[in-house]
Amino acid sequence: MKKVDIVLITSCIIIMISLSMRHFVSFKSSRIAFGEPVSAKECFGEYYFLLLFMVLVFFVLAFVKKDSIWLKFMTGVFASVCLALFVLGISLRYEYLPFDTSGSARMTFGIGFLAVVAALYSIMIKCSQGLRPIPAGIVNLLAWALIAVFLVQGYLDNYSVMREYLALKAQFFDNLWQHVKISMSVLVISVIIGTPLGYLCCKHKMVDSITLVGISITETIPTLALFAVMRVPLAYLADKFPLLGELGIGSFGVAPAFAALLLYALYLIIHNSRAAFSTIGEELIENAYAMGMTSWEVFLKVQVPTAMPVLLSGVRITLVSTLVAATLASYIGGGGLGTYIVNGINALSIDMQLLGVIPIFVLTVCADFIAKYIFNLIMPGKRVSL
Amino acid sequence: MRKKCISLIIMTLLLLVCVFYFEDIKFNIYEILGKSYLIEGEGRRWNLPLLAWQHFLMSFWACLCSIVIGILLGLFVLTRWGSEYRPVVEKFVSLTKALPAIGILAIFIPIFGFGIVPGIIVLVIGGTLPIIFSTISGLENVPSDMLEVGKGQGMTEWEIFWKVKVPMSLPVLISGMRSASVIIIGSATLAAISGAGGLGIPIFNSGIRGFDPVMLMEGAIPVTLMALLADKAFGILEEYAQYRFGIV
Repeated sequence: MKKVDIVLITSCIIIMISLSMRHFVSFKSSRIAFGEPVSAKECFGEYYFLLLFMVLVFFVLAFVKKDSIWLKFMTGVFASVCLALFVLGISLRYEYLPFDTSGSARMTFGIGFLAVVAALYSIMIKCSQGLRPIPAGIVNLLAWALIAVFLVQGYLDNYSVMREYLALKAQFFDNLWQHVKISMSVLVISVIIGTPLGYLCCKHKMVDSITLVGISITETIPTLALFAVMRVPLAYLADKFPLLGELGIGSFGVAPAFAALLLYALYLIIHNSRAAFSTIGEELIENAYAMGMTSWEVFLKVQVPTAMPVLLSGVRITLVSTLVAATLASYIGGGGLGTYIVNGINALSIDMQLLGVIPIFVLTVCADFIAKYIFNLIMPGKRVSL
Repeated sequence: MRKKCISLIIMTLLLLVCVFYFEDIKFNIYEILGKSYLIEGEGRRWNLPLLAWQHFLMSFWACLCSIVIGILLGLFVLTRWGSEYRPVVEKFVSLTKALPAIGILAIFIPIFGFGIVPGIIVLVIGGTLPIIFSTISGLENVPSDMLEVGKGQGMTEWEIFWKVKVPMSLPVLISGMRSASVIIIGSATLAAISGAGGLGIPIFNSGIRGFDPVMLMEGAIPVTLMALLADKAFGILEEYAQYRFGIV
């Protein structure tokens, strides 16, 4: 029996500290200007008391909540709604800031803003613990769903990231689609090649020792260097066979990015499927043979189902790391959302970089979530955990 | 074990040769290839030992920071008060995996200025995840009968922690450090963007911005060797810990 929820109290303290911070959000008169710190009081004006009221409610709930499931759920939903309204509120209060807000002026998140979001999110996580899957899902997803609705409705257009997005709207979706296309094709091909190879590794010593060398080199070579290294053989190929060069295989563009990502994904998949097939107990297989199964049946009915959870979690790991590593593809002309990060570095503009970082982050988290959901649907008995 | 130690020494020697004498070998390679990269490459000579040293220092500090932070957080989460924070810490730490390192590096540059600091922060963010999770899983998966034996011998809780739990979780912890060090050494190449130096500079300038396979090798080979070296060294340590403290 718990008396007080310390996570809630810590979050309240963090919110209070960040509300009194000077760097709550920062205001810029133009894209390259230096940010002016704005405190929460200046930002919210006469609505500031609402924030204090919210903290007070959480503080009271921390003492009242105890082990009641219902109150826990309500606290989580309240935190979710607060998070969404908080993000919305700052955007709506933009015009009342004590600066000239016309023209190319914009507003970026400061440390205080991020701290409040993190604190509210940790309340959400804490409150969704111990709930049934559906209420926990409501608590976790409500905030992001509301924010997505506000985003689509255009209420959040005052954030600097959205300003950049509105300027680059036409090519943004092309880049997003390119990012998804590269990562998904890499994932599919690596699963098709890697899983049988991992199985062969368990069967034959010879294959195993050869692939292990390849795996350990791919593991230790830095991702960036892998991208650079893959350009060399492809350039050679394009030089020798002009036909390939015409097809788009060369030292620049999608081809080297694809090759590097594929190697990286293959390493993960082979490693995983090798582990999955080699951990199956010998006695299981012997039992299956003793029951009169043919070797094909043993493979399909015993080995594959037993190895499936590990295989699927390997696919999930590969999905996440491929989506993140595809950022670097833009450095060698592969396109994708990394383009904005590269452009942002070259232009020294944080807003532009955020336009790359935030979509990649959201995309990766969403893809991971969807993969988890699908895998749990495929195998209801064994929950795939990561 | 002895075989592995010998391969470790050979690899170290190879790394030193690659760092100190590659400059001399390079021109021979150009001659063999018969390419005209030489004209392009003449003006750009790296001080490779310095770059390698910067890379080593950066990865070393990042490793140290992430090990300290990771172990402290992992221990904190396992205490009675800290266990309340456990879901929160786990969620936030696993979310860092979805952050592209290059993006956060770029965001930290305006805040912390150019130099080694943003690079190290990004490396620490990337390297803390395996250490936290290995600390937690190592300390949690100590077999309960071992703890019972400790209790039966009249050990205090503190003694059980130091003499039973820590030694038995050491192999798992070291394997966490192993993957963290490989990740950190690999992504330290990205820190070249923030002006932190390191072996990322040759890779960037000749592998990505320009195109010069030999110069690319100059940067990529030492990095790969360094990561392999860290991997092997921690592997030997892990094997030793397993042999010394693990359950046979």
